This record gives sequence, C-alpha cells and structure tokens, in this order.
Amino acid sequence: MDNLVIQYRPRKLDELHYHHGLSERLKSLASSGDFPHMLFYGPSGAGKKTRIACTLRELFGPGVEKLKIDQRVFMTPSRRKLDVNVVQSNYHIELTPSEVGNYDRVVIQEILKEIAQTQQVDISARHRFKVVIINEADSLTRDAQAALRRTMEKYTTNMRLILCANSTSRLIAPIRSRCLLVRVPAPSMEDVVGVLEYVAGRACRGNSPDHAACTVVAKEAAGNVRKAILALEALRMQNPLFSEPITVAKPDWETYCQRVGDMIVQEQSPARVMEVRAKYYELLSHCIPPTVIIKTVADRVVDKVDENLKADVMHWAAIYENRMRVGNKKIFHLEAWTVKVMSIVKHFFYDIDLTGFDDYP
Amino acid sequence: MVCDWDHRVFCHLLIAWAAAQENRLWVDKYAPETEVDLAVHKQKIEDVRRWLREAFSTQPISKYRRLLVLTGPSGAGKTATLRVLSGEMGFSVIEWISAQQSPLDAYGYADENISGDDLYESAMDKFETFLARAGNYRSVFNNNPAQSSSSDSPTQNAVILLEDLPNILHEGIRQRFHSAIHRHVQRSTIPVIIVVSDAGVRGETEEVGAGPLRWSRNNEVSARFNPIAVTFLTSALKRVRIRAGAAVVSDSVLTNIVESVSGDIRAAIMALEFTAVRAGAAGSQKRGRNGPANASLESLTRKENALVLFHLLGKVLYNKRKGDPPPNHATKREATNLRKIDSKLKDEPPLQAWFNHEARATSRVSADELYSSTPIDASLFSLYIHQNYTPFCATLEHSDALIDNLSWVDANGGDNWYEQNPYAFHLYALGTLHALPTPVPHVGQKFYKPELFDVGKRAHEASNAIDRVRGWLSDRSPENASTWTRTAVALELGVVLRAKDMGMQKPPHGHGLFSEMRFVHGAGNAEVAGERETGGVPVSEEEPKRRLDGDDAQGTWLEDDDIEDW
Repeated sequence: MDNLVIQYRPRKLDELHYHHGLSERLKSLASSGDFPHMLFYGPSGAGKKTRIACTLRELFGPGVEKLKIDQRVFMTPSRRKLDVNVVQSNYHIELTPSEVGNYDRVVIQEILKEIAQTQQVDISARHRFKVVIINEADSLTRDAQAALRRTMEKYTTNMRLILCANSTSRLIAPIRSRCLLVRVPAPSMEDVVGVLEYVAGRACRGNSPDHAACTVVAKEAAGNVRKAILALEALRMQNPLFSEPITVAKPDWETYCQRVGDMIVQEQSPARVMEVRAKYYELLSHCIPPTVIIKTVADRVVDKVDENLKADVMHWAAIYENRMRVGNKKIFHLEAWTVKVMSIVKHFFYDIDLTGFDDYP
Repeated sequence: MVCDWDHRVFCHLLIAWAAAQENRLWVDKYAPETEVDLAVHKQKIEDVRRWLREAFSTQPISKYRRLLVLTGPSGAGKTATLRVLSGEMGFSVIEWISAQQSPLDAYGYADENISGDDLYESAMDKFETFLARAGNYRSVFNNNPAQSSSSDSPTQNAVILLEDLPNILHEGIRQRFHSAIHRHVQRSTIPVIIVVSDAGVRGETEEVGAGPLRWSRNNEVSARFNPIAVTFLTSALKRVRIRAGAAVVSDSVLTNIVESVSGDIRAAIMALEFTAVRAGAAGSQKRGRNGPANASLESLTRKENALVLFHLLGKVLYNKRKGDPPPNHATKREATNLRKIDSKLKDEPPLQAWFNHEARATSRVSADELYSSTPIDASLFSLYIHQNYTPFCATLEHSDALIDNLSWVDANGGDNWYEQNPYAFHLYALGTLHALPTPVPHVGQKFYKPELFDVGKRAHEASNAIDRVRGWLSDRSPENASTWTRTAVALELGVVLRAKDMGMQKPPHGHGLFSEMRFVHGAGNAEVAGERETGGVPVSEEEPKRRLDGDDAQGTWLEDDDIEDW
C-alpha cells in the first residue's frame, strides 16, 4: 500500500476524527429502519466520501468493503459506446456519471433501472435495499437530474440514493427536497492538524513530523484534509526526516493561477489580455476546470487589489462563472472577467488622477 | 449455339455501352486524353509527372514518393491530369469509391433489434480493407502475372487514387484515416494520391494535408492546382466545341462562360453543353436569339461566392463606418467609390441624450450580407474574433465591451444545440462592430487561427493521462477508484506524483500533461491564418515548453531553464 489517504482512512463512524455530532446522527439514522435518500455536500476534502463509506458500513456491516471494479459499457441513442468504471459491492454501487459529460442521463437511467429492478438476494443482508452513490452530483446535466428525480420517487423499495456534491446550488429543487441534506463542513485547523498527527504517527513511525510541521502543512491545505495528507505524503518522500525548513509543495496549477492573478493586477492593456489568455489556455489544456481557474485567480486578485475593488472583482467573477456554466466556450468568459477586472482596476487609478484635486472646492 | 448466344450477349452489351457513351455528359465524353488537351499549366503537369516517375523508379528517392496530395479548387483539372498521365505513362489507377450507403449506414445507427456489430461495417472499415488490399494485391487483369508479386515490375505500375475521402472532420475517423494511410505508406510500394477539392477556405485541406505532414514529413508532397487561366480555358472550350460539333454556341457566349466560371473547367463545360442543347432546341424554332440563354447562364455557373475567411474577419474587425477617411494607399477612384457607397448609407436615427455614448456612424458592413456570404458558422466565427480582436482595440474599454458581448452571446443559448440562438452570428458581428473603435488604428495586425482546438487536443491528451493514472491507482486498490475522480486527480494528486517520480515506485509516465505547468511570459503561439496557409508560426520564441516524461526525456537535451527544476 502506498497511498496514505486510503490507507489511514477511518472505516467506522466511531473512528472519524472530527464532526462527532454528525457521526452520531448518521449512526442513529443507519440503525433506524427508515433510511432516507441522502445528499452529502460540502467543500472538497472535508470527508464526505469517508462519511458515506462509514455510513454504509454501519448499514450493512464489513461486507461493503469488498469492492470490485466493473467496467460497464453503455450505448447512447446514437450508438456511441460509453465506458464507465463502476465500483460496487454486494450492497452498493458507486458511479461518477458526470465523467461521460452530456451522456450522463443514459448512465443514470440504465444503472438505476437495473438496481431498482433487482431484489437483494442475500438473505442475511440487513436491509432490503441497495445503495447507489452518485459522485459529483452537482455537475449532472439537467436531463440527468430530471431522470434522477423520477426514479427517486418510483423505486424507493429496492434502492436508496446517496448523492455527493460540493454545493447544492446546482441541483434542481425537486432533488434537494427528496433528500436528507447532510452538510459536511471543512474541518478547522486544529482538526486537520489532529488528523495529520494521527496519520503521521502511524505512517512514519521513527521520525514523524512534530506539531509545528503538521501545522504548516495544515495551514497550506486550507481545510482540505485530502490535500493535507497528500502534502504530507509528498513531504515525506522529499524530506523524510521532516527537518526544517518545511516547505509544502503546492500543485503547479495553483502557483500558476496566482501568477496569472499578479499579471492582471500589474498591467492593464490589450496586450496583457493576450498574455493572460495564453496562460488560461495552458491551464485549460492541463485539465484544470475553468471554475477552479476563475476562483483561484479571483482569490489572488482580491488579495492584491485595493479594498474598494474587492467586492466588484468577486461580483464579476460570480457573473462570469455563471455564464461559463450556461455557455460553451469557457475561455470567452474567463477572458471577459479578466478584461472587466483590468478595466475596474485601471479606472480606479485613473479616476483618482482625474478627480484628485480639481473637482473639490 | 453457345457461340451464337455469346455473340448476342456481346452485341447487347456493346449497344448498351454505346448508348451509355452517347448519354454521357460532355465533361466525361470529351475528357482530355493527351497532355495537349489538358488545360492545366505545363509546369504543374511536369511536377506531377516527375513525382510519378520518381515514385515508380527504382532509385532510393522512390521511398519518399509515397503520398501525393493534390489540392485546389474544384474543376482545376486535378483528376484529369492524373488520368492523362496514367495513359501517357502507363500505370493503372486504383480508385476508392465509397460504396452505396445502405439506409443503415445513412442514419449512422441501426435499429436496436437488427443491430449486432458484426453485421455492420462502417465506411471507415471498408476503407481500411480497401487500402490494405490495394496495397497488397495486384489487379487480376494484370498482363504479367509472373511479375505481379514483386514491386520492381516496371511494366505495370499502379497508384491508389483517393478522391472520395471518409468524413475526416470527425476526430476519430480522421485518426483512423491517418493511421491507415500511414500504415500503407510504410508497408506498400504503391503510391497514394489524395485529391482534395477545397471549396473556399473551410479548413478541410489542412485537415488532410497537415495530418500526414505531421507524421511523415519526407513522404508527403503536395501540389496545389490553381484555377484554370482564362486563355487555357477558352482554348479548351473551343476544342470541346469542335469535338462536340456544337457550332451553335457563339464566341461571345463562350467568353461569357469563361468569365462567369472563375477558372472551373468542369462548370465551364457543363455550361457549354447546357447552352449548346438549349441553343439547338431553340434554334429549331427561332434562330439566333440566345439572349435568355445568356441570362440564365450566370445563374447556372455562378459559384457560391463565399467570402474568404480572411476577408470576412477583416471586414468585421476593421469596422469601417460611414465617413471614415479612405486608406492612404487608395487611389482617387477608390476614394470616390467609397464616398458613393457612403452616400447610399442611411444615417441612424439620433439617440436619447442619456444614451448618446452608444451612438455610432452607420457601418459600411451589413451583418445580413456578411451572414449570407460567410464560409463558417457562428461558433467558429466567434472563435476567430476572439483570437484576433485584441490588436484592433485601442483601449481596454473596447476590449471589455467586445469580449463581454462574446461572452453574453455564448451564454445565451440553451443546453442543447437546437436551443441555440439563431441570431448568434448577427449578434457576434454587430456586437463586435459596436464595441470596436472607429476607425480602427492600422498597426499591421495579423490574423491568427483560433488556438482553442489545439488546446482541446492537448486537454484530451491530458485527460487520457489522468485516466491512465486512475487506472494505475485502482489496480492497487479498488477503493482508490472511487476516491480519485478526474478533477481530484488533476487538482490534487500532481504533487505526490511528481514526488514519486523521484522515488522507486514510478507512476505511469505522462502525468506531466496535467500535473506540470511552468510559468513563461509571452503571448501564445497561434498560427497566422492567411489566404494561403503556409503553416508558419510567427510568435513562438517563448512557446511554453512541456517537459517530456520518463523514457522520452532521457534522449533530449536539458535546457538552462530546466536545470533548476531537476
């Protein structure tokens, strides 16, 4: 085994390191006979999937941990073949339909129909239903969500859904109202440090990092436990003794986005727009989602600009992010936001120059 | 008895053949048979002939003469040249004719019940089989069966002619096409000649040409045919007139035809036949009045007068408006012409005072006209505008208005293609014209091709790399498969993967496609889009270099910048 994230992942609700109240609630839900459809939401790396896995174990016992991967082939109406990897056990099935883009409806319908029409054959199973976990539910298309909604009503006897999403805002209201919403907030700094110390203590027996080192890593991760553990793993490989100074490696794209933000603040001109565009293209060609790009760059710009502009920068980021979701050509919206911000920043200084002294009596 | 029957069948066949000959169009009937009849420029013919001679020769150069791409507008005599040379040089032409599509193929899918993949053979499958067979086997009608197996047989040479290409605009098909050609070129000695008619600059030529170029620089030669010159065309038409005995067509009509077809000899001969038939029919009733024939001639032969993309962009981005001063290099006549056009343009009604900043002089560009003559659809049009607009903006405010419009129009369609805004083209064009300064400063702007497609391709490669990494992870534990979605791998796993690269357990190489990014200053590496694609890359000094991973990297040089990273 090589992956700390998986290796030291809590398996039971009792083993979870933080959000104990939530764990209690999930436990009592699982023990009651009446388990609802659920929607877990919260920032990435907060532990949604870990909690889902633990809940499943609570529901069905250790049998859910016997996983196998199935490659399923679906056929679209236009006879295109879609390969989808499906992780399943005897009691549940887990899929990420958004991976097939616009064809997610096909995948959802096929899988749900199949699950809903088969009865649990294992007599010793604790529950009659199977659980379907849908990852990245917030990037499902409208069509897929509509398909989901109908099946949720129809097949409750044989099936329960657990949706996993970053935010509920992109799910249609009928789905939200059919689920029990469970928010998994990002853990606090102390929580992350606690997790890191636990993992480090198990993983690097002889020379585990001290509290200070863990704090540095946790600070960098900003509430994303998965990121924190990955950073720890990378750090262990580069700096096995955890000697000072501790430098936490950041993903390249993050540094890249920040420098793009700097570029926007430094100069505002059509030529600079071209340069920034080239950077966006580079990011997009590395499979960085455009929403992540606009968010990271905007965060950086907000850090750098004058207090009076911060709200505007975010306002436009929100507007263009929305357009990005509706539209097709992501680069247009990224660039439109960039130009808008440039023009706001430029005007801010420009206007100071103009109104400076003459206008006031 | 048997003999008699045979004879009768033969006679029938002969009559049928003769009738078919009679009914053929003039284009086929009077196709050129010798080089003298060919209306193509002598130099061009010589080029192709030399290529063929080299291809058939036993010299080492023949290795580099495996793939010839003939491009040019339709009716420039590409295929005719080949046919004539085939007669002259004595080689046979194996032609790919895409078979009649069954209704099944035509829809692209079969009814679920009768489907079954084994029954269905796509056009591309057929093509691949054809190419493989054509490369390996000689014609059964070969005169010299003893020599047919060896490639050095001088008597019976053959070329494979591909005119009817599969739908190479589709990415998957294109890749298969390229690899089929590539395989053929590597294995077989029979040269392949691809004929591509480009109807305007629609990018199809590049798709064929640039692809093979990319993988075998040495093997591919391309020859471009220009529209046929007026003198050649006239004399060719005259020859056809004599051979067809169509003296009814007067010289003036002939000149009209030549003028109206803009170098398309096929269209010219069709028009000639048409007028000859009409004049013949009319002549029996009333002689000498070919006025109406003349009038209809234009509508018959006029090609779709598509604006070349280059001009289309120029029209929009230079944003000429009523009252703009004529350009410096304009002659007096051009200047007066402009003034005349301006006087015809109506002034826009005045705007309310609070809206005055949006007032513009009437544009010399009409969006409707632009739309009817555009060679590209709205989406591609918007990409071209987006790629090229910045140098045309004098200030950031112009850019802001322009890109905001692009973004707005793009976001105002529905989820599905059929919900797309039908006025998108107009909105893109008008919004762009409205946003740009007037007049646009001339600073030697160049037009570039949209980079987006290249970016898409690279993103696709990167996402394949992500899938490889995910496969590698889930081989280790199925639990990994559910934890590491594509986004999670792209965003978070990079750090660990790179750390692992230095350690013992190597992840699949190629993850650099998504995990590695180096920040370089500079503005993109778009290709100049011209009227003639030359493939030159003007701004590429600081083209972002992506480091090769794993095995590939060992054979390459490290550059100064790279060393700090290692």
